Amino acid sequence: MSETRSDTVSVVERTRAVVAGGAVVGAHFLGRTAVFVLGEEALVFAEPDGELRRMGIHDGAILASAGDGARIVSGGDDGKVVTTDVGSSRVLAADPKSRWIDHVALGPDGAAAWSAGKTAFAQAKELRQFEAPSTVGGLAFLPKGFRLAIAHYNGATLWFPNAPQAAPERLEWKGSHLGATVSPDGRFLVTTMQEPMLHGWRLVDRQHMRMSGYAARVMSLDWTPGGRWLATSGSTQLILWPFHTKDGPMGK
Amino acid sequence: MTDKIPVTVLTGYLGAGKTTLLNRILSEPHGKKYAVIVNEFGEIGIDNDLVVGADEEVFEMNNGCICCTVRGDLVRILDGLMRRKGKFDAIIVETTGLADPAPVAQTFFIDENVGRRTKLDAVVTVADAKWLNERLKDAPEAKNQIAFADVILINKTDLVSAEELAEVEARIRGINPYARLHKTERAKIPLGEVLGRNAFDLDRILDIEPAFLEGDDHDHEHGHDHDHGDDHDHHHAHHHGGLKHYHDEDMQSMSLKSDKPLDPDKFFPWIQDLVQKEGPNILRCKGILAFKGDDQRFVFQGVHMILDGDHQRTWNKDEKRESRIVFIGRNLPGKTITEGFERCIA
Repeated sequence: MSETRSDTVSVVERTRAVVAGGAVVGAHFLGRTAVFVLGEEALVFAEPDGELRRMGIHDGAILASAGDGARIVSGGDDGKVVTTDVGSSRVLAADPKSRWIDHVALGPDGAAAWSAGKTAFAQAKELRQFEAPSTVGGLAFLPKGFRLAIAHYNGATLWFPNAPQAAPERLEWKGSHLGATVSPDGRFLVTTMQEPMLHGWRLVDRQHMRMSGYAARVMSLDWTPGGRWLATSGSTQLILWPFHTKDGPMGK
Repeated sequence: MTDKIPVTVLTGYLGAGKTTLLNRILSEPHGKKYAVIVNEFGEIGIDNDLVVGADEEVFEMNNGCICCTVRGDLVRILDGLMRRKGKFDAIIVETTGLADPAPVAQTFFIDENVGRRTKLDAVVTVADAKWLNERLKDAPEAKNQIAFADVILINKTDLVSAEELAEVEARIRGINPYARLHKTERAKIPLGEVLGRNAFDLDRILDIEPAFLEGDDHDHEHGHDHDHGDDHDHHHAHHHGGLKHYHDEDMQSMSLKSDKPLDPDKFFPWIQDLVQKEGPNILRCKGILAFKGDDQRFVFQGVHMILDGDHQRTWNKDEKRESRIVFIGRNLPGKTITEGFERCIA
């Protein structure tokens, strides 16, 4: 006798395997269409009706991608930043020296950001750029305002692209910071490090949070809906850090 | 193991001829494709190959080890290159003339993702026949580059006399007796001598010329590189028996061997402890080991405090099961190391 209620559908029944035809390095949704980012050149669109469609967008490796449901922004080793929606793609920017576009991020109100080497770019209405003290390791927009968190060696910088007169705010922590994410409520910035650990800052008072104990470098992390938990790789188990209390995971 | 992409690190002091060698590697018809990581764009330009600019950003790991430095830009670039796996056969990393090779080498041991997909094939150092002796006196980087090398090209030999060349060679041997030495003009060398050396040329340490070793017994048996049957041999020939000996003031090498098998339960704690204490002074170490009750040959190599080792293959029947370790470093405590090693014999 199964105790499973008849209205509960297993995950398996709701999924189908998609043969993307290449290594998949990212996955996003555009509306109800699942979009897989290949390691080289193209996106593969898996429509709800089962149709598969390939769209070539880069002349080489795709190094980074970000999606917000309405568009996907990607950076490649061809030096191009490409924005794609369900129907089409266009080049948002091309690095004059064809430097690799290492990171991309999407922000509120259609803002996008990317980086090439030490230079971070942010575009809302106008394109702004910022020279980080070392190569940019990761980018993340804060949920409110036009503000970008930039991870680099020995910390991260909070930058207001539209306030060039305001000094960017530097958050210090020794080491190489490789990825960045901001909690959906905007209270916490978390970076992944070269060492198998995360580092976090509570932005209001710059309180440090060291999140360690991983077996491997954390390659993937994201917030649960609502931002109560931060889910990460870096272990054979899925690690969830609690962020719903005032202090976040401090002391936990 | 075998599908790891080999990486060759190209070092050499300013003006020694690194770019010449790189251009030669890229332009000769070898049917292979290379991804090249250079520190300066523009000096090379070969359409067929992937050329990536790097920033040589070195940082310290937060693991309590002061000499544990990593090239962060390399981690990033190698990650990116792996997305184009299949588009190239090997990777070449060119460093700037002032670079210390340690962070580059350590990157391959420390970063798990990099180590899983690539392997350090060899450190190749280009030395300027005319200026190296001067640089060894005033530039610590130049000395590190020699000490680190698996393969050394004494380049621009056409600009020096035979005596000067012998002097340079002796100086290099005083620092690093284990590297393969080649004498070149305009970095002209069969590419097989530079690329695809495999695992830091480990077997090389088994047939080092005994005359070069620390505390040697001056039995002049130079046994030059017989195993690469090409036109280099005649170069070596006229130094036979006449090579000067130098002991560099602060950089030494030492070699230990045992024909009795080692006890792994003694050896590993000993070597770990040794590199913890002496890591900053030990630039390189390598070894081939025969453990008691183990039919497999164990090979390891290290850079400063980092060690990396694995079983390599089964010992051949007719092969002498001998363990051998070499160290290159500054002010090595020879007696302590020798005694410690001897205690590891099973």
